[in-house]
This record gives sequence, structure tokens and C-alpha cells, in this order.
Amino acid sequence: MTPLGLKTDHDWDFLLVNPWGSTGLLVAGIVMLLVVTVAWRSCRGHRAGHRILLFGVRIVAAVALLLTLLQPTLRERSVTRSPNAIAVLVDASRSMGLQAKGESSPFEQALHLLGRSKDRLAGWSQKRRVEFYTFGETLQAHSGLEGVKPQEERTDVARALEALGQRYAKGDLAGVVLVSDGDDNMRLAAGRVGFAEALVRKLGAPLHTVWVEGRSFRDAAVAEVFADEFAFVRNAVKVEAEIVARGLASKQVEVKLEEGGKVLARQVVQLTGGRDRYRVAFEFVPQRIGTRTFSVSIDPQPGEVVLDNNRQLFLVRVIRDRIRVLQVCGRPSWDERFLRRLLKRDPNIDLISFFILRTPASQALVPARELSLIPFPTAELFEHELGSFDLVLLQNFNYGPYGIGTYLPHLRRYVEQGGGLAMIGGDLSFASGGYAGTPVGDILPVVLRPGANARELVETSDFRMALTPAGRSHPILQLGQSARESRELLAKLPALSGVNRVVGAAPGTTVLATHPRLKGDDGAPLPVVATREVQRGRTLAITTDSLWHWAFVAVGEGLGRGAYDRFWRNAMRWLIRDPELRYLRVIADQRRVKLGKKVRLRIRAYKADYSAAKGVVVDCTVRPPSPAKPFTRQVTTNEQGDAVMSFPPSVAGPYVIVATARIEGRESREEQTVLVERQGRELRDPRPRSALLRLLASLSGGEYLGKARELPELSFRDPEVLRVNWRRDLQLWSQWWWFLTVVLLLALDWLVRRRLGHL
Amino acid sequence: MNDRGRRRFLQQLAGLSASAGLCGVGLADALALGPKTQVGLTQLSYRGGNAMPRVTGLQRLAWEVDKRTSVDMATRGVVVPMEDKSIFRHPFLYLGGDQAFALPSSAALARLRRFLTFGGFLLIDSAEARPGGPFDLSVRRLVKALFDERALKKVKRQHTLHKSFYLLDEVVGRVTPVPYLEGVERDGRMALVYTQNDMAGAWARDNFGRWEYGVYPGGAQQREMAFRWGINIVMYALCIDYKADQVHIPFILKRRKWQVR
Repeated sequence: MTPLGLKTDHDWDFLLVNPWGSTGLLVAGIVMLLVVTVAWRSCRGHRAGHRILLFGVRIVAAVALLLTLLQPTLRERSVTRSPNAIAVLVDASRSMGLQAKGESSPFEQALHLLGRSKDRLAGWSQKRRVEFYTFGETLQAHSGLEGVKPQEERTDVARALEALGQRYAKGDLAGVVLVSDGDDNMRLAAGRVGFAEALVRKLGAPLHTVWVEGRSFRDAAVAEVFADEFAFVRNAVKVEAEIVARGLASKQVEVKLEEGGKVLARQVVQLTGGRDRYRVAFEFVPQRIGTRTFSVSIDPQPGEVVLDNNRQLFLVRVIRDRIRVLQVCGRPSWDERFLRRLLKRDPNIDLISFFILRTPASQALVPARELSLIPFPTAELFEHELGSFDLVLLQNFNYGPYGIGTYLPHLRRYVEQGGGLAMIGGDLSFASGGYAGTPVGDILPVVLRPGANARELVETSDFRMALTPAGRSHPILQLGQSARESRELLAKLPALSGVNRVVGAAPGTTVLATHPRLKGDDGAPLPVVATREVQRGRTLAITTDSLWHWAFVAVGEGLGRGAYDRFWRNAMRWLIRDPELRYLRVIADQRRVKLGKKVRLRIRAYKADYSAAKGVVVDCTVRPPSPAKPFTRQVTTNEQGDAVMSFPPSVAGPYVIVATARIEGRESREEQTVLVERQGRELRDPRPRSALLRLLASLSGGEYLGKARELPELSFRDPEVLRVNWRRDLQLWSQWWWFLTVVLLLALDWLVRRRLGHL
Repeated sequence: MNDRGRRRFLQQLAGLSASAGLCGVGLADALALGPKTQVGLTQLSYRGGNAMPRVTGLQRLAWEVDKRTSVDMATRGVVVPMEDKSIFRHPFLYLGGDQAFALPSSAALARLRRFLTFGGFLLIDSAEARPGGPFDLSVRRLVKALFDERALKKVKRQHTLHKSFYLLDEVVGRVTPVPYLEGVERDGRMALVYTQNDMAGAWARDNFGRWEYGVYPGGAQQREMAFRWGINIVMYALCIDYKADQVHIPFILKRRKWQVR
């Protein structure tokens, strides 16, 4: 061995010099063929023994002659080789650290194995370099394995072998000794033979494998949860989970589906000795929209090695399937007719309509059985089922005659808890409908005139609504492609006819459009379209019942009904707090973040007219999973109304980020959930298994050593020649003994032929 | 009281109530957000033929609708020429006649087609009461020019028109030569409805409160049913398929067993 670690060696080669080239070889071959043919023909007529003798001697002599012509040579070389490496590869994934009480972990077993094989390793290092590595998600080189902890979040054998292949030049790798529990959870998890074969072929060295495992491995795990990322509110959602139980006695275990500590569904699984995988299915109905965190869990079992994998979290974004709209109309009218038609045609809307077709004042000359009228289900609509609607439209509807007064507080509560309410004008609406001073009247965007003369409550002239500054940028009145186009379109649309007179806008109201001539009691233009935030809900007031002019009269004027459709679609989106139309939005770059990466959130603030709200201070309270502590950060929006907030999560689990801000004096709040997950799926379903190790060893020409206590002598690849120091050729064909042999063979041929009568 | 007696009593009561309800109309007019927000039944006039054979019929129907239902009707009659651009301000059009009439210009046809396609409603009522007569042929020519020959189809018994307010079976008017309605469906709703039973003849009443035409063969009961049909047609024009909503079906099926035929 040289000081550089190089090794000098002698080697021998036998070679044929053949100075005649391929042409000479061809001619010699043809001559040989002729000789063999002639020899064979000349043997005919002899006894079998003589024939074999005659032919055999001729062939041997001819071959000896041919060999002589090819000049056989024995070459001796003095060469210098670089000692190649034996890579000792030890699995350092978390599953290697799993330890039953009183037992050593697989990683400790690996260390013991290497400790017991100290002499063997020392022996190998006489001829080769012995280099140590750990692997998991990535390959790590070590001078020794003392102090190494099995903490990798994945077991990726393929990646480790690929990294080894890149690390060593061709031929520099003598072989690999792989010590693992065989629980690959990446590309080799399925034990694909084709992929494994390509991998070891690329590596080009034998792979010797040793299997280490805990003797009494017990685990119950939620290995996989199969749930869609999206679900529709109030629609049954199916969730399936794969439960894995290993080393556990036959017994019943309970699997739970939970949300925020509340159990939504339970399933009992009967564990049996012959099976380790079980499928459970749950069904539940989400009642609220938003990003929700659910979990499937199984209780800890006696003697269980891993508890981390007994619970698995998953996010479901609960969205509306269809907007549920309740349209209550005091009397059939063209305004009702065109709005109903729009709502019924929209596949995203689930419409429940109730029209008052006959009032107590109508003549009732026929018995009810001859009419198609049905009772007005007031209690069902305004008490029991109210919460199931996203939006309530009170269209020219006076509650008084139908005993609905007692339900008005329900309607108010419904709005305060997040519902949308629109009141549409008419002679039975607003103050004319008796809403002044009622719980519903108090949450409308307009102040109603109590107890006024009926004739003072309406104004019948035609008008074109005038946009306010807020209305120009508010999404409800974005009837065209741009704000300018919307303004121009509004100016062209047919005039409306008649309004409900009101005192003025209620406090906190955003007035979007006003009457061009009429004023409220406060001297401000009379609101025609106004919006209001009422705690978590929203209300809209449209003080006319002639919007249908935009749907039909506009068609006659060549404008189409697009403006009408857009107005109502925009209004409904705003009323139901479509996430795209909130004043404060928290957008997570990623809803699932790996532990170790940052959670990054973009915060956007809008004014009531949906222009960018700059300089808004937003408090972002992060509620992390236990044991991490909640914290609050403040960010301020820039010119575009944007701000960025990020933080490094410390533990895995759901992080709820609550952003609150005061925008134009109005409190806004938005919530977002981000699920922080462990890097890999190492302990999700730990399965010590030897099959992969057997496969890799057999495909690479290495040995599978099973649960070896000590490393035996193993075969490795020879190192590649780095330099030839000198060379000596021994020309066998020019040796006297070679010539003598050839001459003797020819002489023997002549002698045999003569004796058998050929010469 | 037997059936006939009960019906007569109800009709008398209807007459009384109708007279008493006049002031109610005045109040409604005053409260509404202007006359344009009221529901009007607008008569179409046209070139040739006789566009208004039953002058008071439509007004009387409007009055009945106003009295018997919650709809705020404009009871003053309005006539609009078929060629007029203002038809889009009157979503309910009525076309009556008892003679052949000329097709409107192609521009008017296009406008009427657009009117019906985008939400307008046209009731055609034949006063000639003779299937295959000159008015009937003119109507079919008009429908062919508007859509195509096959567009006009018999309205099925299950259609919402039969249950939009009253539960009704056979279609009647002043006479009953065709006991069903025909109609043109556009975009899932009946945009044009055609009756050959002279419904307006049954509705017509002069200023002294006398019925202008006798009703055959059913007399007063048939007149009442003609009014009910008129009300159902107006209700359908306003509410479209409201009565086909799932929530109404159990009630309607139950009551079908009890209806007057």
C-alpha cells in the first residue's frame, strides 16, 4: 500500500497477438476448414477406431499450427489500483428507533451488529475503504455511528442507493452492506421488482443486506385516511380509513371520527390474528362551510410501540353545493316573476318559493279543495328550517296577515348569525309592510318611517338610479366588464318605476345607488340600493319593485337581460358572504405545510366599496396545536391593501389563524386553517419486513444475511486499475518446446497415415 | 244544500263580493308603486280582421283576478298594436279575434318572437269558436311564422296551467269545441297559450253588470270555470311553474280527488 492509499499488484493475462489481421485469420480459417474436410473424406472406409485416430490427430495438429500462427502470449503486469469502497449503510429512520419495553431498538441492534463485526470491518479496510452512512430521507456520511439517532421522517432506500451511485465513480464501489428494518415507505414500498432491478444495475455492486427488527412489535395505526378535499355543506360526506393492527391480540377496538374534540361517528373493528389491515367507513354531514379539521383516531392499545400514528388529521374544505334561497313574496308580480325565473334557471341555486296567491281580503268563493293553494308553513320556514337557507328574499311581503310577527326575531337572529336577507320593494314592503320598529326593520340598511300615512310611504314616478361613490366600486353594481362600462350600462338601462320612501340610510350602511330627485329626512338622496353588515350576516335593501324592467324592457330596447342577471348574481354572492367578496381575506399559500417549512399567509383588506384598504393594521392570532402557545402578530397592509404574515410551525397539527382588523370603523374577521404535517410518513404505518432486503440482495448478486449477529466474509467487486507500472510478454509460440510440440504432432499425423495405408 | 244549489249560492256570493270589492281596487291603486308595477292584461291589435270581438272580457278577467287573488291588477284596459315596440312594457299580451287577420311585418314578427323567448306571455283566444275557421288558420299561420308549424302543441293535463290557482280539468269558455289548450313552449315555460273556446266571451260583462254572451252548454257553472281558467292562465304567466315545486305536490294530489269537474 502506498502512502496515498494506492495498492501495487501483479496480474497475468493470456492473449493471442495475431499479427496477420482479420484477413489472415479468415484465410487460416478457410484452410482449416479445407483440412478438416479433406481429413474427414480420407477417413472413409476405415474402421471407426482408425477413423477417430486419423481425424483426431489431423485436427489437433492443425489447431496447434493455427495457434502458432496466432502467436499466443502470456502477459505479466505490475499495476497500481485505488482501493474501492465498501459502503456500510444503516437505516436511521424513526421506525428504527421503535422500542418495546425491555428490548433494544432495531437501530441499537444495527450498532451491536457493527460492534461485533469490528474485526471483519478492520479486515476489509486492509484492502478497501470501509465507509459508513446513515439514510432515511437523505444519505448522510459518518466517520462512525456513535451518537447518531434514528430520527429521519422517511425511509427511502432507492434515494440512498441513487445517492451512493452518484457519490462513487464507476467501479469505485466494492459493495454495499445495508442494515435496515426494511420498512421503505417511498418508492420501494410496493417492492416493485423492475424498479429495484434498474436501481441495483445502476449501482453496479453487490448489495448485502441485514434485517433488524424489534421482537415484540405492537402497533395500532390509522395508516391512511381517504377523504375528498372538498365537501358540500349539509350533504353526507364519506370518509374511509385504513386501520393497521400488528402484534395485538384479537379484540374489539373503537375507531372515531372527530372534529374539534366532538365525536361525529364511531366504528368498532374486530381485530383477528390473521389480518393486520382493516377498512372502516364513516359518514357525516358537515353543517358549516369553511376549512375544517377532522381526525380519525384509535385508542392506545396495551404495549403499543408507537402512539403518534393512532390519530390522523385531515382537512376538508366545506363549500356550498348550491345556494339555498328562500323567496317569500307577498303577491305575484312581474318583479317576482323575473326574479323567480332567474333563480330557477341557475343550477347553483336551490330555490324554495312561497308566494301569497290569496290574501285574507281576497274573495274565497270556493272551498279550499278546489284550489291548488297550500297552507303557508310559517313555523317550518321561519323557525325550524330558517338556518338551512343561505339567503332569504322578502319580496313585497307584508308579514302581518300571516302571523309571522312572532318569527321576526328569528329572522333577525338568522342574519346576525351569518344569514343573508334582502328586502325588495313594493306596496307591501318596508314601512308599507309594517316593518318599522320590528326586529327585521332594525337590521335593514334603511331607516323606516313608523306609522306614516300609507300614501306617504311610496313614490310612483319613473327614475334612473344614481350611483354613489361606493356603488361605483362595489361588486353588486359591477354590471359590465369594468367600472366605467357598468356606469355607462346603468345610464342606458330602462327607467325604474316607483320607490318605497324611507327616512334614510341606517347607521353603518353602504348606500350604493340613490333616487336622482328624492331625499330622505336627513336631506341625503333617498337610498334605492343599500347594503349593511349585521354582525356575521348581511342585509340588502332594494326600494323598488321594478327591477324587472332591466330583465325584460331592456330586451325590447336591445340591451339584453345581462345587467339584471349580473346584478342579482352579484347581490347573492355578496349576501352569502362569498369568500371572494369578504372585506378581509386570509389566503394560505399552502393549506398543508410540512413541519420545518414556514406557514405563509397573504392578507388582503378591502373597504366597503371593495377598493384596496391600505394602512390597515391586522391582528393575526395563531392558535397552534398543543403544546405550542398561541401568539399574535400585527401586520399592516400596503398600497394594494396586501400584507404578508409567516411563521415557522413548531409542532405538527392544525393551526387556526384568526385575522381581525378594523376597516373604516367596521370590525372584520377572517379565519383560516393550515395543517402542519410531519415531514414524512415514517410512523404512519411502520412495518418491519424483510422482503425488500431479500429482493435487493438477490438482484444485485449480494447475500441476504437475515438477522445476522455478525457480518461474515462477503464478496465485493475488485478495484479498478489506476496505473500499469511495467509489462512483460512471454511469447509462447517462439519457445522451443512449442515448436517441438507442433513438429511432433505433424510427425505423428504423418506416421499414423503411413501405417494405415495413406502414404 | 245539494251541489247545484251550493254552486248557485257561491255564484251569488261571488257577485255580491265583486260589487263590494270595487273600492278595494281603488285602495290598491293608491298604494302600489305606480301603475307600471301593477299587472296588466294588454290587448293586441292588428291589421285586418276583428281584434276586439269581446271588448269588456279582458277587463272583467282582470277585475276577477284582482278580487279573487292577491295579484295587484291594472283593471284599466290597454291596447297595443302588434307592430308597436312598446310590447316589452306589457309582459302579458292577449290576442283575440273571430276573423282572419294579416301577418304582421317581419320586424314585428321578430320582435314578438323575441318577446316570447325572453319572458313575455301571449294568450290567444278565438271568438269564432270554430276549429279550422279563418281566425284559427290565421293563428296557426302566425305561430308558424314565429316558430314553426310543430311548435303549437296540445297542453297536457298534468301541466301547471291546470293547477296554477284552481285545480282544473277540461278547458272551457263561452263554448267548448276544443276541451284543451294548445301552447308553444320556450325555455321550459309555456310562452304562448291558445284556446278556441272564446274565453273572453264568457268573461264579457257590460257596464250594467249583465253578461254579454250566453255560455253553452254549461251555463253559469261553465262561465265560472271559464273565469277560473282565465285566472289560472294569468297566475301561470306570473308564477310560471311555481305550482310544480315539490312542496305543492302532496297537497295538489290530495285535493285532485275533490275537485269540481
